[in-house]
Amino acid sequence: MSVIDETMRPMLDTFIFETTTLLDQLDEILLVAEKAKSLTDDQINEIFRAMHTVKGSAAMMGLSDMSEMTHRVEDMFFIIRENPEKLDGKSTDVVFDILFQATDYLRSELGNIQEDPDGYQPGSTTSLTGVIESEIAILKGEAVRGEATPAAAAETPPEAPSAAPSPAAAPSEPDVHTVRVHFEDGCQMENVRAFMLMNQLQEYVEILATVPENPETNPDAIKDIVDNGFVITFRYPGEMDGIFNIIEESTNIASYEEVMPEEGAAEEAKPEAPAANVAEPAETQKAAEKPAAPAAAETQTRASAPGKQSLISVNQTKIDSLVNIMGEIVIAESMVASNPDLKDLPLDNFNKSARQLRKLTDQLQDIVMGIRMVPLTGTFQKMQRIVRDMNKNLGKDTELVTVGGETEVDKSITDVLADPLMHMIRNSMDHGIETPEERTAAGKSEQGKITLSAQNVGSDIIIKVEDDGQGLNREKLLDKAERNGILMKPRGDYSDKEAFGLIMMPGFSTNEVVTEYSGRGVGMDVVRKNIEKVGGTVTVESVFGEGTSFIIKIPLTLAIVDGMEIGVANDTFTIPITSISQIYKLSPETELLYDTDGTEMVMVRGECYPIIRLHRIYNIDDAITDLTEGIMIIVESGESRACIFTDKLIGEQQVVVKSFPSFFNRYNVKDLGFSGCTIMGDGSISLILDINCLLGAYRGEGSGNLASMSFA
Amino acid sequence: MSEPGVPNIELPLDATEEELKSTSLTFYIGDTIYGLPLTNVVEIISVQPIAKVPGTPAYVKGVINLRGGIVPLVDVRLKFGQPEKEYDEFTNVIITVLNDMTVGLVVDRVANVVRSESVDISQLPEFSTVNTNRYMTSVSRTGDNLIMNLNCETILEDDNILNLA
Repeated sequence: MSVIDETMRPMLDTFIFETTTLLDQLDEILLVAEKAKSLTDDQINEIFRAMHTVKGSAAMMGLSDMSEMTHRVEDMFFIIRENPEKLDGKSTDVVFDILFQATDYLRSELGNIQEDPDGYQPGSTTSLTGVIESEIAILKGEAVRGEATPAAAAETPPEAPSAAPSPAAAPSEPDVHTVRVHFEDGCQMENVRAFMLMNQLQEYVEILATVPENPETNPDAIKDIVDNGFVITFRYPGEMDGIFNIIEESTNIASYEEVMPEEGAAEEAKPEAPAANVAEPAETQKAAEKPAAPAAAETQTRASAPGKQSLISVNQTKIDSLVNIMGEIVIAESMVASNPDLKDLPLDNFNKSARQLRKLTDQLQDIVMGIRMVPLTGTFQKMQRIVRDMNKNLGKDTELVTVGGETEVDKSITDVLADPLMHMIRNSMDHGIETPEERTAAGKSEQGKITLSAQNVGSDIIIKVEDDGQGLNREKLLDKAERNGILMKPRGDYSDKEAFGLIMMPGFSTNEVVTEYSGRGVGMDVVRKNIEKVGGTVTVESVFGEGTSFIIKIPLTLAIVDGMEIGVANDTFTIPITSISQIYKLSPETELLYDTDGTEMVMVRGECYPIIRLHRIYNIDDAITDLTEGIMIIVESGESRACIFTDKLIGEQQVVVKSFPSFFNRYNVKDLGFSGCTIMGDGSISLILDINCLLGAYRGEGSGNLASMSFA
Repeated sequence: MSEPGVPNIELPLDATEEELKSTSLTFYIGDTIYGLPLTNVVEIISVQPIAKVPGTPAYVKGVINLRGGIVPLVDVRLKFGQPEKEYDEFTNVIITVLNDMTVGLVVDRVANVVRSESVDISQLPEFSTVNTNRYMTSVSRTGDNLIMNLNCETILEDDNILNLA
């Protein structure tokens, strides 16, 4: 039987999504706070709030272990919130560790739920709650650090807040209002309705306290609410009319009244007075809560109050099908507008309309592609966490610097990137960065540095993971490869680049000892595979003793490119328009230059371009070989330029990029200068040229077949 | 199956997994009959316009557009080291699926669907299982014909899979 409340099943996705978002926020706060070695009041409130929300929604889903555990954390923060001064150096460390453990636990539970909602069994929280409780005891001054045993601490009543010191009643502030809401008779689930009302109000006001507290988790609250109404205290600086409107518009509200501050204060002063007319247990809690709330509230800025979000979450498959359809529309538009049947017809009006259609489809394409674009910040943030954990466990001191996190990439890419990046960071931490002692000995700063950067270059996104660690030792790599039997050619034939590339071979790991993080030799080849899956490449650069860089290059959008169709004999290829800077025909007078290798070059406006004959590098027979008969296309990628020689131009077309079938992976077609293929209007297939790779191969950087091809 | 060039062979579409396993699609390369387990066969089509992919072995003929999907073609004749033969109206492409990978096999002519209960299977003599005949699993006889039963995996497996640098 499932642990999860069956009636809540439809909410499961939302629950996971929201909780994950909260956990990410938490991590962000924690990392900042840990660096500063202290928690600001704002941060304490944020954490408190996040834990509270997780607790509430977990309870709603029937995940009692999760809500229990978060409840403990909330308790702990309740104390901290009231007595920030108790958070001394030692406690801060413990609290941070507890929080990290708690978020880890929650994350892994979420993962398990997502994987198998039916078979999900909650993981044990005993040890974690034990730690939290002993810390609560310490914070409350009931136990002394080091003496507190989890068993002893467990005896502490979980309702820790009630034991919190409660000074004089809160001053009645003008902005603080208390409203008592009565629900319609027999409307059922009053506690949930109260919770929903809270949520609604939360968007506009800052809720300080409610009676009964936590209506959503407390089944006894129903009776309480039915009998006495739901009392909600909040801070709202504006006119109350707006808030009353919101309450009125909520469903099943029978009546509501504003409780005057005097009355509220009276309630607090005499918590058990019959006049207050509120159930006792709730009231005691309220008494404890009240004084704390305004104090916390004072530190909050309006900006941090949850604003109305204009974001919606959409099922990714819907977006995927939208993108697919859009691709087809773009292609269909091309097919109609440049239909061969229309050739040479006087179609002024048609052309006008076609241009209009083209403009609109272009816009549509931009918007749709934009939907899928997300910044890399989130992915980068996760890496901070990994570095932190590994620093702790490996006794290293490393700083992760992220640059260009705001770079936007296709959602599918961020999904694929997370794992490889994690592997690479781990790899850099484990194998690259030395221990502080080793670093000092090598004359480096004690703190290691890993730079994670992202930037757009042309139609690609380039992500680099650079460390200033010990670098790769070419000879050691080759030794190891030899021992593992993965050397393919004599050692001397390996270029540095190829030798470094060995670490991405299956079954290769340079670390002698297998650690928790790396050394099993499965990491880096998985990285390569994952990146290649989305049409990207990984290269390694390294200077021994100075550091290593992994450079990932991934096409920015996977779906559609503006392409120039060219023909060589009977084959067609597509060159992305973004790579083309000029197309021209060579005049017979032009003089060709030859370098010492016999490479043909041509001068265009004072610049010298090497000529890449497609028919030659791809061994295509029956192609035009006379340079003056064919077409010259000047292409550029990054800093390098070249002149591609082809037979003819076929035309410009937007094409949907399809990756090569996995069958071709073994032939390394990527290294041959193809980034994918596409189906053209007439149903034929055209291969898309990867100009960057072609030029790289020309410069002799290619790792595969192209490098050995003759350009001369 | 009314497409010109595609023989009128009915694939037992509603057959169970067990039945499929014991059924082969037979085809000709030259005069030899080969059998392919029907579990791997998706459909039979005629030869389509092929886009060549440079830098691949000769037996990889290129890619075709199969209803919007890109499917690589392997010429079985060339894969088996036999001389190239011009494609004619009998030439067929058998679309196979192996481990989620779709590959089209170009054969001289598709022959028939044969159930193995009706044929007499004998294992290969041991000496021939090495190297040259690693594409085959067994030999069976139906009537007067000998069928070389092929192993889909070894045919589609790369010859030099370890050569990735």
